[in-house]
Amino acid sequence: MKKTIFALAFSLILGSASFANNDESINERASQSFKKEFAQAKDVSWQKSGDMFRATFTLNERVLFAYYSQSGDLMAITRNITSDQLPIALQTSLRKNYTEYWVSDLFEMVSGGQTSYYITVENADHKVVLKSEDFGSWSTYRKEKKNAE
Amino acid sequence: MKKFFITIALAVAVVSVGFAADGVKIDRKIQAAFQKEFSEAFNPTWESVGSGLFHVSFTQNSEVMDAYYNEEGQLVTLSRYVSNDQLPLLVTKTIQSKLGSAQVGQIREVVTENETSYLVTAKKDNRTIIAKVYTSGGFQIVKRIKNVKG
Repeated sequence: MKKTIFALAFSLILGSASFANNDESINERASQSFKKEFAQAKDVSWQKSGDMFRATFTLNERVLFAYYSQSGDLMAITRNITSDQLPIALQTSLRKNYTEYWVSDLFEMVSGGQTSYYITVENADHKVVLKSEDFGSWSTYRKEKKNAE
Repeated sequence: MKKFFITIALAVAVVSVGFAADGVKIDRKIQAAFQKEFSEAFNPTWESVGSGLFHVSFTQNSEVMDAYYNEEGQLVTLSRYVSNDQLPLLVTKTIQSKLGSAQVGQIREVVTENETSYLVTAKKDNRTIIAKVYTSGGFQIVKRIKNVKG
């Protein structure tokens, strides 16, 4: 489970998970599990990537993504957020330590009852992915040097 | 002693409705700690709230924030009002399941000792409830107040 979540987070950060709509996009077990968990969900659509199924939906005016395994287990829920939606301590830490960077991606992930935040910040030379699981501090998840053109 | 300061700061945060600046002199050590932590703070207003605690209200990124420092210049509590879309998913879920039938009012995000929690004010029947929701989704009633009809 943890390994799958790690792989999912990694693919979301890299943008390498390609979720597509096709005839196999809806898995009956996942669909049943989703209806039970998110009874109030609106505008639901399904996509598939590998053996993972993703439901995109609106709940309480928020666009959310729920990820399911083939057996219908809810693996994770994510939502894209802006930096002012980060918990205050994470915002403060970001302002203090990454003033020269801009934010290119940010999402909240809930998995196994635990919340984590992944943010991608960039400057002219580097692209850094930071992760937080404690609502207070960031750790470097991935750092890469940008190629000179 | 540390717990006492935190309790005082939390109590002040719960009832926080704004304070008048009392012109109190703030130790340089505290001011320096504040400036280091919140270098982009705008319009800070300081006051002493007793028990060796100092409150500073300021604006950062267009948001009004409240920070509480002790005499040693340590940040004891940081808080701000938040909107629904600033709440973590698990916190939203807990509020809906525990306070679903109540009318939810202001929500304050509070950071104390590196722990983030959310103080939710809600009205149900003739009572006002102040509840603490933890980032894990945990829930605790802090206070119940019987409303007096005007």
